[in-house]
Amino acid sequence: MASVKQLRNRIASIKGTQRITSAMKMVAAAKLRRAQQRTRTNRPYSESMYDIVTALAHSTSAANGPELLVGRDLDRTRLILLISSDRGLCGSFNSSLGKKVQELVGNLASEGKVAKIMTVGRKASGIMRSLYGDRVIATYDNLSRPAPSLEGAQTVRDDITMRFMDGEFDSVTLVYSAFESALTQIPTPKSLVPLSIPKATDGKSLNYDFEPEPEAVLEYLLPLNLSTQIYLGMLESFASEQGARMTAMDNATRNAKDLIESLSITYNRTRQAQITKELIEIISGAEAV
Amino acid sequence: MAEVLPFRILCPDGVVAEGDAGLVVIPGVDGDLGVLLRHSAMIVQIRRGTVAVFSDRQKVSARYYIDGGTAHITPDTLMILSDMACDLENLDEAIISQGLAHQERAEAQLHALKNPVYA
Repeated sequence: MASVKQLRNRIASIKGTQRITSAMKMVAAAKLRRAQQRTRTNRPYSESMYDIVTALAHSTSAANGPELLVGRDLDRTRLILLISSDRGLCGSFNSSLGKKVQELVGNLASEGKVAKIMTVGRKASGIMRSLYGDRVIATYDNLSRPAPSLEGAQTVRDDITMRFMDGEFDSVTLVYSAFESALTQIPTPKSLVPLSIPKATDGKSLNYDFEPEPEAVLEYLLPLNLSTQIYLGMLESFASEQGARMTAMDNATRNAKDLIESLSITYNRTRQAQITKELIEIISGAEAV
Repeated sequence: MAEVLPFRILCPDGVVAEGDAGLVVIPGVDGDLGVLLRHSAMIVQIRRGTVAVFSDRQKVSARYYIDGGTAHITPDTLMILSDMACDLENLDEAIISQGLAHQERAEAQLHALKNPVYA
């Protein structure tokens, strides 16, 4: 059985940890608010961009569309772009993303397709390298520190575009954590190449004129749309990461509180038992005299 | 009251400007373009330049620097999308150095694309 001193030290150490987890929870909550705000401010731009690309895609025939829009007919190799976090202590945030990728890779393998992987975030790069080795073609660590930036998304976009043009892969799927709430984050796959475009509904869509030709505008806009989608994925993942960390740290703080309570009871009982024992010894000694 | 066109200038990091205008002149790649309410639906690629917002059809009420982009014109709205845009009235050192860095990066990328290094 632990001595009174050992128990006292253990309680003090857990209280220290509790202070850290409680501070981390508050920091994550503040970061979450900012991340949600940034996602909200980006949304009109991303949605407008998507509307424009949709209008353009409807105006050009799918067969002649650029490869970045429609992908390649011979879809043999798919790139999975995984956006994870750069830091840990965020519960099952990264492991659930890893599981989603494993599921996707398994599905591709059963279809006879090859998966290549590119990661954004330090945590995923380690997991993916140990799982898939050489199939991880690039990793971008610490790109979202202190927060995701458009420049970061453009760097990833440029790398993807260059490799796609070189024929390294035929399609691209983004896997990121969609933010539902601070408690719920959903690992979500989203096809970037080919881009999922809703079918044109007759009567609803406008007849657009284009300046210059639609093909030229599309060629200019597709890389921009790609970086916008990656940036939105990074922003959503960042918000999800903060939400996951907030929940994980809240749980840790509560667990520490429970542990302190149970250890305090043991400590008090042990201390009382020691006092009683000493008293008995004194009384017995006095009686003997 | 004269007819007004609701317009928005959007960047990835938020809304740079929004409001109603009598006329908006945008720098299209094939030449400047005046947009009024009930303009035909159009998607226009924009070159680097300034977007002039007219409160009525004679008086410029605001000018925005725009680093290229796309305009989405529908009969009842105008949406301008750009990587970087700012109000010329509020131009300061930070915005200029940010724009300069943006330009240098774009030129470096262009240079890398034109001169590929083969191992």
